[in-house]
Order: sequence, then C-alpha cells, then structure tokens
Amino acid sequence: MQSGLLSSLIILPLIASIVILLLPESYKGSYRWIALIVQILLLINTGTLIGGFEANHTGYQFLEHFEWIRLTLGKTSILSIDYIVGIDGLSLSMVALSVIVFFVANISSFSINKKEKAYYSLFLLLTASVIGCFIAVDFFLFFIFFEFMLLPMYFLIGIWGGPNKAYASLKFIIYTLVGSVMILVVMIALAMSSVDEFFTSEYKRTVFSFDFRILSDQANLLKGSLLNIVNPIKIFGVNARDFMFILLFIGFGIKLPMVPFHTWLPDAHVEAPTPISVVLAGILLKIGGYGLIRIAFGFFPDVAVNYGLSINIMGLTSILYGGFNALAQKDLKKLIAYSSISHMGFVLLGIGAFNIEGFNGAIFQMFSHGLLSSMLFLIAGVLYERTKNREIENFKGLAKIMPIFTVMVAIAFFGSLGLPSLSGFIGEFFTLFGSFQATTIPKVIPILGVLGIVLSAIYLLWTFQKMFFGEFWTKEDFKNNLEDLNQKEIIMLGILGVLTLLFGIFPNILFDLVNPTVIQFF
Amino acid sequence: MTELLEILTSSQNILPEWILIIGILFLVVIISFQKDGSKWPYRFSFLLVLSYTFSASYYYENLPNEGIKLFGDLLILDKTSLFFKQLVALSTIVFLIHSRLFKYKFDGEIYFLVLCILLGLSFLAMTTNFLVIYVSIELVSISSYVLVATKNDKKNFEAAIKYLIFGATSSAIMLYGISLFYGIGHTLNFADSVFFKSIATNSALIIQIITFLFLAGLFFKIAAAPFQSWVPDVYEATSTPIISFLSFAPKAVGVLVVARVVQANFVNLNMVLLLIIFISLIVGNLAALWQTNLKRMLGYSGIAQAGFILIGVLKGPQTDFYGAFFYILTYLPITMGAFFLADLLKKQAGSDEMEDFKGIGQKNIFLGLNAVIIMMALVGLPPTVGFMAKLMVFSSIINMGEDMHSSAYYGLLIFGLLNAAISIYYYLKVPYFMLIKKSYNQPRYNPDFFLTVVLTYFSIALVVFFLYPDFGTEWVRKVLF
Repeated sequence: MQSGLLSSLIILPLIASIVILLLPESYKGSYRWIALIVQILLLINTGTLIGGFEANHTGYQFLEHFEWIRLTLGKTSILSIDYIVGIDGLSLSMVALSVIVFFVANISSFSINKKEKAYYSLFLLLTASVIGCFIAVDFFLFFIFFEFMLLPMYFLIGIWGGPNKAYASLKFIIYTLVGSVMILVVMIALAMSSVDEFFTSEYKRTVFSFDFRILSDQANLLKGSLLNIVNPIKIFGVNARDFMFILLFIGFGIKLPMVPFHTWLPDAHVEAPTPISVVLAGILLKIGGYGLIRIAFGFFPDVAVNYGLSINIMGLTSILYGGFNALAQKDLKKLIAYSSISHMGFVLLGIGAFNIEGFNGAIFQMFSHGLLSSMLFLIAGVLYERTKNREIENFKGLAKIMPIFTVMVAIAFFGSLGLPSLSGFIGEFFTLFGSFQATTIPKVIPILGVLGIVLSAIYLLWTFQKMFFGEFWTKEDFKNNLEDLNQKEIIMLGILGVLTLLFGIFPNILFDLVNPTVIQFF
Repeated sequence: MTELLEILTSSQNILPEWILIIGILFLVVIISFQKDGSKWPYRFSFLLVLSYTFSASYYYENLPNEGIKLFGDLLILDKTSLFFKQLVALSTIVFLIHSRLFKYKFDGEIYFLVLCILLGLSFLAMTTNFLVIYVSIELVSISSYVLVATKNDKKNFEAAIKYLIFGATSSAIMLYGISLFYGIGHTLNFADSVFFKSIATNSALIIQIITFLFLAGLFFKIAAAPFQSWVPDVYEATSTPIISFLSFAPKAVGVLVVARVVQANFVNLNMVLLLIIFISLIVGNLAALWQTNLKRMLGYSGIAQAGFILIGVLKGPQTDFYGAFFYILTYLPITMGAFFLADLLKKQAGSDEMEDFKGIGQKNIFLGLNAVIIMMALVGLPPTVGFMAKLMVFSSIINMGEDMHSSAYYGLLIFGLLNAAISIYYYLKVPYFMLIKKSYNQPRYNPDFFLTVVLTYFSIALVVFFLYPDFGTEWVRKVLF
C-alpha cells in the first residue's frame, strides 16, 4: 500500500520552495501565503496520517519503498540505498510536532520583511528536510536530510539574524557538522556490517543495506565484520560497538544539546530571528533525542544497557548546569535558551533509564518541550518586536497593560516549570519516574534531577514576578509601543497554549500513540 | 625481426597517441604560419582532443582484463589506463571550452603545451616502467613550467620559478630512487616478477625509503604534502582555465601510478601513505582556513583533496582502488566547476579576493545557488556527488580496518571526517560573502546570464550524479585492475 501520503510531506514543501524561488519579485506578497498554504496542507496530511494510523500495530506503517541507488562497491559487494519512508508511534509524534511548530513559525515569519523570496524558500526547504529526517526508514536517507538541514539553517540565521549573526551561524554549522560526521562514521560502519540476505542471494554479491529494519535486527550482522557481536573487534582498545555507540551519543548529544557540547545553542538562539528560534528549539533539538532513541538505542541495545548511568549523569549535568545558567541570565531569550538545555536534560534522563516509563517520558518531554519552548521564544519575540529590547530588568508590571500577553506567558512559564495539568509536568514526571525505576541508576540522580524542576521554578517565577507584577515601569519610554497581543500573536500562542493544556490533561492521546512502539524496544 | 614485428603490432594499439603526436606536429606548423590571434590553433586542438577521446574508447571492447603489453613491457594498455586517458582528455575539453567562453586570447603555443601535457599523461597512464614514467613526467612538468610562465608579469615569473625549482628537485629525488631501484631490482619494470624477487631479498625499511624517494615526483604532481609548497603561488598566478586543467589532469594520472605501485605489491606502502595523507589533510585544511584569495584557497583545498584521494589507494586484502578512482571521476566536475565559478566571480568582482564577492549572490541568486552547490560538493555534503565520493573512500577504510585489525585506520577515518567538517569553514566563505555580506559600494555587476547557465551545467551534474551514480560506478567498476 503505497499511498504517497508520507512522501507528500517532503515533496510539497520542496515543490513550494522551488516555486517561490522561480516566481518573479513582483509576486512578493504571495510568498508567505504559498508557504502558509503548504503548512496547512501538511497539517491536514498529518491529520489523515494520525487518523489512519493503527496504534496497536508494531513496525512501520504507511511504508513507501522505492529502489534508489545500487552503489557498486568494488567487485564483490553492493551498497543498497533505498528511498524508504514510514512511520511508527515515535516518528508520528515527532512529525505531528513538526507540522504544528512549522505552522506557527510560518505565521510568526510574517513579520520578516527582508528578502522574502530567499527566506520562504529556505524555510520550506528546512521544513522538508526536518520532516524527511523523522520519516526516513533508511539510514542514508535520514543522514541526507540530517545534513541538508544545516545549510538552510545556516543562511536563515546568517542572513536574517541579529548583530552577531556571522559568528553564531558559523558556530552552529561547525558544531553540528562535527556531530554529523560522527554519525556518518557509524552509518558507514553499520552499513558495512549489515547484510540484506534477500538481495544477497538475488544479486550473488554481498548486498549491504541501510534499511532501518535490517540494521536493527542483529541477525543480519555479517560474521567477522566490524560491528559483529560474537567476535568483538577493538578500536583503540574499546569494543567497536561501544566505540560506535559513544560516537552516536556525542553526535546526537551535540544536536540535543547536551552539556558540554551545548555552547552553540545560546549563541544561535540569541542571534536567530524569532521564527527560526522557534523552529530550532521546537523541532531541531528533538532530532537529537529522536536519533538517540531510534538509532543509538535501536541499533545498539546491547551496548546501550551498559551506558544508562553515564547517560543519566550527562542528563543530570545538563539539567543542573542549564538551570543554574538560566538563573544568571539578564537577557530573556538567553534565559529561555538555557532553560531549553535544562529541559532537554530530562530527555537524556528518561532515555538513560532504559525502561518503558523512561522512554515514554522522554518522548513526551520532547513533544511538550517542543510546544512550550516555541511559546517561550514567541513570547520573547513579542517583546523584542515591540521594543527591540529583551533585558529582563527593563520591564516591570507588564500585566497592567498587556493582560492577554500575561495569560499566555503564565501558561508557558507554568507549563515549563512543571505545573500539573500542563504538559511539562507529565514529561518531567515520567522521565524522573523512569530513572527511579531503573535498577542500574543510583537514586541520588533522579533526586538531584528534581532539583532541576525547583531551579526552573525559581528562574521562571522570578522572571515572571519581575517583569509582570508591580507598578508598570520600563527603562526607556516603551509605553506607546507596548500594545497587547494582536490577532496573529493570539492565534499562534493560543494554539500552542491550548495544546499544552490538552496534553497536560489528557496525556494518553500521546502515550497511546507512542507506547506500542516503545514496548518493542524491550 | 621479432622486435620489429613487436614494434609494428604495438604501434597499432596506440592509435590515440599517434593521433596526438602527429596532430601536435601539425599544430606547430599551423601556429607558425598563422597570424597572432588566429582561431585555427584552438579549433584544431579541439578537433584533435575529440578524436583522441573517441579513438581511445575504440579499444574498450576487445581488451582482456589484465591488459596487453606493448613494446616489450614498456607500456601496458588496460581498461584502467583507457579510463584515465579519457578522463584527462575530458578535462582538456573542459579547459578548451572554458578558455573560449571567457574569451581568453591564448597564443597557439598554449594549446601546444596543453596537448603536450595530455600526451605525457597519456603515456604515464599506460606504464609500469620507471624510465617511461620518468620521461612522461618530465614531458608533463616542462610543459607545465612554461605554461605557468606565459603571462608576462612578476607574480607569474615568481610562481614559475618556484614551480621549476621544486619540480626539478622532486624529479631529481625521483631519479635517485629509480637508480637505486635499478641497482637492486635489475630491471626497470616494477610489475615484473624479476623485480619482485630481487626486491624481496632486501629489508623492507630500505625498500620503503626508496619507494618514497621514487614517489616524490608523483606526489609533486598530485600536490600532496610535503611536496606541496609550489601550490598556492602557482594557483594564484596562473590563468584560471590553465590551472583548472593542471589541478585535475596531473593529479588524476599521478594517483593512477601510485595505485600501480601499490598494486605491484613489492612493498607495503601503507605507513608511508598514511603519513602523507595525514600531513596533506592537516596542511591543506589548516592553511586554507586563513586564505582570503579564492584561487589560493582552492590550491590549498586541492592539497587536502589529494589526501582524501590517496586514502582510496591504501592497500588492504580486498583493495581494488575503487574509492580512489571514483573520487577522481567526481573530482573532475567538482574542481573544474569550482575554477569556472572562480573565473566567473573574478569577472564580476574584478578580483579573486573573497572580500570583493560581497553581494554578488544577492543580485544574481542563481549564481549564488551555484556557488553553494559547488562548495557543498567540495566539502562533501549531500545532495552532491562529493558526498558519494567521500562515502566510497571512507567505506573502503572500514573494510581495511576489519581486515587488518589496526586502529590506525579508524583513527584515519575519524580524522579525515573531522577534516571534512573543518573544511566547511573555508568553503562556505564564498557563499557567505556572496549571499550574506552586504556590499557597501555598488559592485561592478554585469549579468553574465550565459556563463551562469554554463556553470549551472556543472552544478546540475553534481546533483544528478548524486541521485543516479550508477553510470559512474559501473564505469569505474569495469576499469578496475
């Protein structure tokens, strides 16, 4: 059953991106609408996908499989690269998150009024590659989308960013490229070790495959190959499988971002324009978590078991380091950036627990952080657009003149600090719960992890109090600029706020989708 | 009598070279009887290279896999040599088109010299004989020295002198290696079994050193470190189409000869090669980081690329040089496209300095797009064929690591890939200045629509070749040793 529904998620934005590129400059006004229509189509298609998705089925659904490249490798072997897309609960949840965030970011992009043509075609290119990343069922395809994301992002930050954009965009691209190079090493090694039995007998030459379904089945590992389990080969004194797992962990950890590889994130966020910050925090970071679960844990479960504790320690470090740093920030956007690092630490905590609760929690946390961080960056954008200023100290008593804004900020802040009935709570609860359950992990780690929630309560409530309560006061005379939210902003923040509430009260919507997939890991 | 017969039959098998030799003589006549600025030398050379290319493909059909020996082992005609001859001829055609499109007013002598290089490379591709290697390399080198020196300015002379001195030195080192080999091996053909047996009685270390000496001349041609010091000056000073040709053709055939030496298997060269690869990657990449001149930067990048290509030449139990050959095949459109881009940018900006490219891409978005694609191919990012080439080369290392049980190969794998990651910094400078930086003064902008379209052929080739690499991979697979 090849419905083409999944491919449409990649092809639509790609086509639209080319169309925008080719449209003459006189149609300038229509670019944003073309992009928005595509995003709405993506929402509809994803809705159809969710409707047709059978949660209790295991394995990938909506599979589309085309033979693409049969790369001859020397005389005796073939590298088989296919175009395979499919979804399971994990990828579906991420795709759903992406289309929501891209839709919101697209509305937020309306305020961009410089070189719209390039902006929207890059933006749609980014959309296509991010979604492609989540639905690819072939490592090669995944990697292409993963790499291809870098360039649109580089230009989006580099051209439309703030004053220090050149530095930030370059730092972003080099950090991520180093990460992806590590993933590339693993990709090559995995493919050179995994044999597609069926095609091998058909072609009479060894056929190496990138298919996720073949890579995740350890029965396909070639005897004597680099990554075989029976006869471990050592690289620099470390077992090859361990070595590859560590590479993956660092590679995706940079993307996540995990302390100490996080330093690109605050820079990139501070310089990026609001919609790009939203996309960056909302989705791009999730690719790190997605990759860890799907690839690092999916293909190396035997190794991953031994690294639960180290992953948890890294997660804890991220939580605390991000939290303490956020406490010290004066710039609202920087504070949000560090809180992102702290919250993504919980994802590591859940993944490292390596049990059903932990994985469910990690996926939920990614989803909820996608919604909440998008809200937070939009909020920072609202202030910045009106005053060109983001210093926390410069504002006081905003609640008096911007009541609707204050409500939205309250939802976002309380969601982030883990108030029950908002989605942030569920994610943090389940990741911590998973970590408590894990036998390999000393209880002190989740206990310290709880401190992260306390920290986020401190910096968020503090900020909230400083900026919104008390008598109205601003450092310079911003009063005339500070109008309450306009319709566009109410729509964006409203959608995200409602979803946060929805998933906070009915977390089962997501868990039902994800759980059957998660169970297969164990 | 048998010798005479041998010469006669062998002569029939080198038709392309005959065409070239006779053609070159004709060219000399044409040059001396035509006025300056005549277009006939150009037209004639074009015709000559075309017939050379087609006559070379004539031999593909009836050639046994191991090739046939000509002139009593002096030459060996196999599919690999045909492949390289055609590649080099193709790059000559690109050179000719490039120089025509940009309206370079070359004297007829330039075409004569380029054809001489083609002839030298053609023989170099077909031999395992030390003496033929040396003579062909000298033919290529001397022609190149003159080519570099043809422009009449100070910079050119400086570059040419540097090129000459370094070239002569490495030739001398090479000759020294050859004489030692002749003393030890009693024959000039390194693929010979006599040579193999006599070599085997000596200590491996000594043989490695001698081989290194012998390879010096080739590494000089490949522009691998530590024989790279001529590169930046020569690249900067020489006319772009010429250096575009010189950046590809000698490098390709040089790698082939190194591959033949490795294939002959009389010595384990891996340690030497590993060293050269490490140094080339480091020197090329780190020096390229600081360049402000596009052509200089491309020069250093060529050194790093030489390192990547040589990775494919390392010897393992399953080695068939597949990665290296495929890399070279893709390197033709990548590097020559990059120089085409450089020339186009120079035409628009008036200089090779990357600072001066400010804002060009914003005015002409398709030129900017082309620059992004070509630079991505140089880094080795998908969706360009540069990624495929790197993938091939690096997957060959994984195989080697499995077979040899040595961590050094995995170290090389990670080191090489990290270098690729670093290289994005300097390659991205071009699109960075073109697309992101604003120009303060109005650039001398003239929309060269036609040239941009031609450049687009290069970038389309790079992308299409990524999506459908089968044509290239099958071709390379057929020509392996």
